[in-house]
Amino acid sequence: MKGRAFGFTGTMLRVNLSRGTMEEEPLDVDASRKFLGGKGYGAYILFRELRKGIHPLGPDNKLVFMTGPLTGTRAPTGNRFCVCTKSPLTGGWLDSHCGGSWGPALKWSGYDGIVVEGRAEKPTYLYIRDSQKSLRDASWLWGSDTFTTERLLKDEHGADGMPRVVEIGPAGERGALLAAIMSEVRAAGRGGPGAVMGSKNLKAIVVSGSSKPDDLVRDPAGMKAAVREAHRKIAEDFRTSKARSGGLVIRGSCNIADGINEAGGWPTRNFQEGSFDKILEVDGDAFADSLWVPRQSPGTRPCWNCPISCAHVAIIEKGRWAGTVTEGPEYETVWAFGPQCGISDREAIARADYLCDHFGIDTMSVGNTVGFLMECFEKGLISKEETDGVDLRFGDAEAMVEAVERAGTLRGSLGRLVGNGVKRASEEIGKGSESFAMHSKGLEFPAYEPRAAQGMGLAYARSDRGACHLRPWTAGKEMLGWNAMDPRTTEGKASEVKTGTQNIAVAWDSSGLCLFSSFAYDEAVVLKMVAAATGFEYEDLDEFLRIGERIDNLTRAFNVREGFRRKDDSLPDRCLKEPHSVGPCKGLVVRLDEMLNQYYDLCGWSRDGVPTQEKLLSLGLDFVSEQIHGRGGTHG
Amino acid sequence: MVRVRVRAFAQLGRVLGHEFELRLKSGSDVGDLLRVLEGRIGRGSKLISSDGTIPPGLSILLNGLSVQLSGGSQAALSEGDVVSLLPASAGG
Repeated sequence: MKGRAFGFTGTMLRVNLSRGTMEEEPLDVDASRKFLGGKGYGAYILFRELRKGIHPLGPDNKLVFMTGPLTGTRAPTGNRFCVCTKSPLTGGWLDSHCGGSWGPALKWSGYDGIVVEGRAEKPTYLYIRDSQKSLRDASWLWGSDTFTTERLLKDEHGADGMPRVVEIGPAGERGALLAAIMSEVRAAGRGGPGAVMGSKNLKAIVVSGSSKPDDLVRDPAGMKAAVREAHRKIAEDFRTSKARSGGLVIRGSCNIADGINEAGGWPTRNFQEGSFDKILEVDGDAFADSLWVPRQSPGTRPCWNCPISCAHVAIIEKGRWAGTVTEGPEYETVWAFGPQCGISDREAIARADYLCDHFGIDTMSVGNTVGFLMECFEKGLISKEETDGVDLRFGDAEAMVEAVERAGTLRGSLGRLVGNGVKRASEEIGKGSESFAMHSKGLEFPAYEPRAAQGMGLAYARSDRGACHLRPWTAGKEMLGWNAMDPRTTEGKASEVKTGTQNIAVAWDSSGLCLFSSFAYDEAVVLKMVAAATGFEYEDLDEFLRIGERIDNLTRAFNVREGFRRKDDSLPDRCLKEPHSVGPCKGLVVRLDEMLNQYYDLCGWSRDGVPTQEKLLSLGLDFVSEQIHGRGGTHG
Repeated sequence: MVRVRVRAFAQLGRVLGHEFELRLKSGSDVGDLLRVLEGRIGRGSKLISSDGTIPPGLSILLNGLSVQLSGGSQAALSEGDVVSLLPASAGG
């Protein structure tokens, strides 16, 4: 480390649960200039510290909680932290991100990030207040749902300022491969980070701190100007502006459901169709008109420092699930328990959302897997013996909710099948079900039909953490009509996916900003805020964006080291061999091989998907090249 | 005469109705359709800009594809076309 860190506290905390030790270490400022924070810095740590082949749920795996340089600053939406680890779901790289207030609180407590190692002998939680830290007994919390855990810990430590909590629920404790890490009903949900936390007997991390946002910044005047520009752009954009009743503000993330459905891209009944005939019963307006409480009501709260405020709160007042209160459901969750399962019952969707948050499990992957099992059940590939007597058919809301409830604790055969995800379920069921188990690398597909958007097909297949809709989100251009790209063709998709992935990796996933701010302002605005916060003097925007390419090659190399190759950049046969049934892309399949060749060539990777030595060295990734190619270079 | 099916969402759907058929003169384009609908909504609501372009707060799909791909407001309408009117949206 050279010089003082700005935008960061300059201190990392390393916790070894096996030994019960906690040690502070300096943030490597040179590394943070090259990898920024968040995902990038987490990858820098884990590539060097994790040995190839370790078991994701063993004590050798590590869990990195990492903020970015804009987390906890006045940058609008600067509230994100990420969790990096080796995924138990995919066996490869995982970064999962979360908003709320915990990330800023960690920063204000004196740490940029926490590296968790080993495994505690008994249930434990970590408590931090202004750099004072202790490991404490969590036996009294073990078995509690996430809401109860958070409330009990806030009661316990509420006298010490405003404690913020991340925690796991019963799903993480029991090692469900779909388990999430939760914080204030928000989730680092994808890829099973909750199972890793549970495997370490770590129930929660409580943080509170008294630093202020301005304490972290190198150039307060420059920051003020850049933040003002970012706010202005958010206020002007039709999608993010409160004054313009922007879609994200009024109808939440579910504001896109209508457009995606019209484009034939809303997967229905486990991707057998691409359009849901009951769209008007489950779109953003339908939830706003029925279940969501009015904005600004008590209990509705946006993430810290977010002028967009996409979050909504649903309350079920009557009937079988009366008393259910849940944040959301968000777009992906509405899809997962709605069209994916052939269900238009909004209360059932909200109930399933609540149960997932309660148990601490990923809504997207759970709903995907339930839809898959419904198809298996209807095709006679599984019977009531495997579903514990549940008549698991498309459109049956009660059966769907029952399956979700069982998944939360891995209860019975059905709970185990759902809670460990679609890849394991299809491997156990066999009988050809693998062809319609909708995942890539083991991570379940999200709410976009790739046959209706070739770019999304490539994005799902090449993503470092498995089928992800955010790396990048080509759906906006392919299906929603802004800066339109033809969803039917492969033209330009490799370039779009490469550039989008890399830019997101640096400007949002490593800076501490929410990706939704990208709808209003671009990477140049992010750079202004990063430069003001950190004092890093990047030559130009290209040099800043080159960080994204460096990060993407680093996580790619992480997976290559674990044995991932082109064969793993794959999609199920349903996408490759069964033509799409509706809409403008009717008759089309994903032309993946063609796009992968173009994509690898653009990236400077071999046709087997391995970054070349030349590419790695050009990005300053010498330490990576040595592991992938050896000192002399052996693998093209 | 050309008959098209209009599907409108969010606030536009509340005002215009969610789905209905519209008859237009032969040779009409998307801009013509928007002017007709604008007349139904009343004063103060703009579905088409004074320069003839589609305003940034509105997204239009023609048979499920962005109308930007086929000429924007000048995209020609054919018998049986489905025109979806959506507010600018983002999220996911």
